[in-house]
Amino acid sequence: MSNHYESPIRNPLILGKKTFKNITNDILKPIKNKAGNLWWIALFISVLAFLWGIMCIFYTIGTGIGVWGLNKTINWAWDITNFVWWVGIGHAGTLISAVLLLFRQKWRLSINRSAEAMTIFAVIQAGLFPIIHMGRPWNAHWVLPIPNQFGTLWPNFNSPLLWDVFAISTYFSVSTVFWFMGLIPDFAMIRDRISNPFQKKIYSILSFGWGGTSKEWKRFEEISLILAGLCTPLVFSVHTIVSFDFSTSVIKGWHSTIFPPYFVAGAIFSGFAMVQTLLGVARKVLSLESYITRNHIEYMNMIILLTGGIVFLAYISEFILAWYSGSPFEKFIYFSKEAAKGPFWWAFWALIICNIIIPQFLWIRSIRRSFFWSYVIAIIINIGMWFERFDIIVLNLSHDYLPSSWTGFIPSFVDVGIFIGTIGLFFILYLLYIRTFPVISQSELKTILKPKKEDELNNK
Amino acid sequence: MKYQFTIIKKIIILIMIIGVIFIFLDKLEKNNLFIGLYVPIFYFTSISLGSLLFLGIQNVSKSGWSIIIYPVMEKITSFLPYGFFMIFIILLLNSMGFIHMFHWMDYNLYDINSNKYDNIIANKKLFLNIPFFLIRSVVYTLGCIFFYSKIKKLSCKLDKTSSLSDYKKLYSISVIFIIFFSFISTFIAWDWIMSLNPHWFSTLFGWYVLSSYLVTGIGLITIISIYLNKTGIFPLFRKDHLHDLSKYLFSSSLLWTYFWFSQFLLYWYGNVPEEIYYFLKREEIYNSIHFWILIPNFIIPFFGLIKSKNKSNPIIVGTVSFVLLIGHYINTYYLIVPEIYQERKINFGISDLGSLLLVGGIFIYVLFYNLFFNNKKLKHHVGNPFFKESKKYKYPYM
Repeated sequence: MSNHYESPIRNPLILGKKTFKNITNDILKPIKNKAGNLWWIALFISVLAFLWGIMCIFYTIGTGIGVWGLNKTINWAWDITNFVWWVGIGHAGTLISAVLLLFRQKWRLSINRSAEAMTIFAVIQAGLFPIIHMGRPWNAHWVLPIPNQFGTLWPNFNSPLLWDVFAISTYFSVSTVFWFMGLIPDFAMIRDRISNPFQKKIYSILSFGWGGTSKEWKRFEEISLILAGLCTPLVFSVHTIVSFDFSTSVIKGWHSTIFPPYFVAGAIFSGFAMVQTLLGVARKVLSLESYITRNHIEYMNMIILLTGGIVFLAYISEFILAWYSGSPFEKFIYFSKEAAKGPFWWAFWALIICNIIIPQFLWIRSIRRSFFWSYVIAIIINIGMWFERFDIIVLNLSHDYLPSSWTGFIPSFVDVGIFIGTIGLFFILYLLYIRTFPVISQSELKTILKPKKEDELNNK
Repeated sequence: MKYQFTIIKKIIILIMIIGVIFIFLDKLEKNNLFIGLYVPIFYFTSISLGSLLFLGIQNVSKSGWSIIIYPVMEKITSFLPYGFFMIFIILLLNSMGFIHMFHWMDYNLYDINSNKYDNIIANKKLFLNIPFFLIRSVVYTLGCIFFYSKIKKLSCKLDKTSSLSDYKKLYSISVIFIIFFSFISTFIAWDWIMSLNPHWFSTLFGWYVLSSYLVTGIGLITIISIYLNKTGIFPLFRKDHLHDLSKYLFSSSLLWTYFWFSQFLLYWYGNVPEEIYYFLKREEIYNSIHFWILIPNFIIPFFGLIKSKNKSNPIIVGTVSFVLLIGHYINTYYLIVPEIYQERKINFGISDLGSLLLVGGIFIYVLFYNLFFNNKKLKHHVGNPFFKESKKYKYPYM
C-alpha cells in the first residue's frame, strides 16, 4: 500500500488531526470511565420494556397463541412482520463490513463495528419470533434435521420456512465469527491499556493472546478477506429466503418473481436506516464526532437512496405487472389500487409516505448532510419498512381466494408487548455493548489515518 | 501498425459478406429473417448499453481505479445509436405490418367480434398499443443517445479544462442517467422482449435482462482492454486494473445467476400452468437450454475466476469473458426466438449464424473504426480528478 495515491478532492474520513494515541484513548474512554446518567436512564427504560416483553412471552407460551390478534384467515401477522423487520435490520452490518470491504470503501471503518453488533443483536430478536410462534417452543429443535429417534419426523425440506432456519442460523454464525475476528486486535489493545485486573483477565481471554506480530496481521487480513467473501452471498441468501416465505407461502399461487432482489434491497434500506438511528445516538453519547462525520452520514444516506430507489422500482414493477397480468387475484395484493382504498388504507399509505416519498428528500444535499434530518428520515424509514412487511402479510392474507373468509386484523396487547420487549432487549444489548466493546475498529481505522504530511516532516 | 488495421478492416467486411450469404442460403420468409436479425441486434445493443451503464456506475460511485478504462467503455458504447436505429427500424416494420413478430400487434385480438379475440390481451390495450409502444421506444432511444453524447462531451471538455465544476456536471449527469436508465431498462425488457409473448409475465424480467447487459458489457470491456494492452497502445492497463475488472465480471455473472435462479425457482415452486409453459417450451422444444446456459454463464466464470491469481491472468480472464459473451448470446437467443418461431421449431440455423456475423461485423467495425481506423490514439481522460489515482492504482492484496 506504500504507493497508494488518493486524489486531493476526496474528503478526509477522520477529522480533527488525530494521532494514533488519540484514537486509542478515544476508544478506551467509554470502557475506562464510569457511565453517565443518560446511559443509566436508557438502560432502565430498555430493561422495563424488556421485562414487559418477557411477561408477554410467558403469557403467550403459558396460554397459547390465541392471546395474539391472529385469526384463521390472517394466520401470520404481527409476529412475522417483526421477524422480517428485525432480519432486515440485521442486513446492513454485514453489508457494511463485507461488501464495502470488497469494494474498498474506507469510510466503513468508523461504523462497521457498531453496524455488525447491531446485525447480531437484531438477528437475535428476529430468531425469537418464529420460535414463539411455534406455540410449543420447547420443541423448537424439531425444525433441525435431527434423527427420528428424537421424537419427530424429518422436517419438510420443500418448505421455505425450513430454508429460513438454515439461512438465518448460517448468517448469524458467520456474522458473529466475522465480527469477533475483527474485535480481537482491539480487545488486545484494551487488555494492554486497562489497569483493573479483573477486566484485564476478561479482555485477555477475549483477545486470544493476540500479540500484534506481522505474521498475525497477515493471517488476520487473509481471513478477513475470506470471511468477507463468505459473508457477501449470505447478505443475499438470508433475505432471498425470507422473500421466498412470502412469495411462496402467504397466498397460494401468488409469487412475484421480483421478491428476492427487492427484499434484499429493502433489507439494506432498512438496515442502513437503523444504523443511522443508532449511530446518531452513539455519536453524541460517546463523543465520536471526529470519527462519524457528515461525510459518513452522507454516504449512508446515498446508500439509503440507492436501495430505496431499487425498492421503489420494484413497487412500480409490481404495480404495473399486477395490472398487466389481468388476473383478478392480483387486484387485492398489498400493492394495488384496491389496497389503497380498502380497510387497510392507512397501512398502504404509511408504506407509500414513509418508504417512497419521505426518503426522496435525501436528494437535497443539505438534508442529506444534516445530522438531524437524516436522523428523522431514518426513523421514518424504519417505520415504513415495518409497514411494508405488515402490508405484504396482512393485506394479502386479509383478501384471500375465499371472500367469505375475508377479515381484518387487530393486534392484541400481547402482540405489541412482545414487539416492545424485543426493542428493549435490542437496546439493552446495544447499551451494554457500547460500554464494554471497542465501538470503532481502531486497529483498522489507524490504517487510514494519514501520517504526518511529508512536507511537514521536511520542514522540521 | 496501419497495415494491420487495413487487414482487420478487410476481414471484418469479409465476415459481413459471409453473414449475408448465410442469411440468404437459408431462404427464409421475411418474418423469420427479421427475427433472426433482431436477436444479434438486440444483443450487441445490450452490450453497448451495459458498457454505458458501467461507465455511469463508475462515475456515480466516484471510483478511482477505473478512469483509464473510460475510453474503452466509450468506444464500445459508440455502437449504441446504430443499434437503437436498427432496432427501431425493425419495430417500425412491425408496426406498419410489413413483418409480424409481436403477437399483440394483430388488431383482430382486440376486436370482440373477431374469432381471434383474446380477452387477456385486449385488457392490456392501454399498455400494448402501437402508438404508445413506439413513443416509449423513441424515449429509450433518444434518452440513451442523449446521455451517451452528453457524458462523452463532458468528459472531453473536462480533459481540456480539468475544472471541478465540469467534473461536478459530469457527476450530476451520470446520476440522472442512472436514474433514467434504471427506469427504462425495465421497460425495455418488457417492451422489446417480454411483450413478444403477451400472456406471460414476470416481475423480475426487467432486472434479469438488465444483468445480462452488465455482464456482456463488462465482458467486452475486459476483452478489448486486454487486446489493446497486448497491441501496445494501452500500456496504462495493468494487472491491478484487470483484477478489478475480473471481480466485476465475476460478481455480475453471479448477479445474473441469482436473478435466473430467483425467477426460475419461484415459477417452478408455484407450478402454475400459465407461467411454467414458458419454461416447458424451452425444455421440450429447445433441449432444456434453460439449464445448459448455466454452464457458460455461471459455472465457468465461477470456477474460472474464483481464485485471486486467475483474476489477474489475462488469458484466463479473456477466455472467461469470451465464454460469457457466447453464453449471453445464447441467453438472448432463447429469450427471443422461442416466443416467435411458431412454425419453424428448429434450433440455431445457418441464417442465425449469418445474422450474428453480419450484425457482429457491423458492431466490430464501428468499434474498431472508433479505436483505430480514424488513426486517433486512445485518448485518456487526464482531466478527470481521479485520473492519477487510476494511473497509480495498485490492488492492495496482490
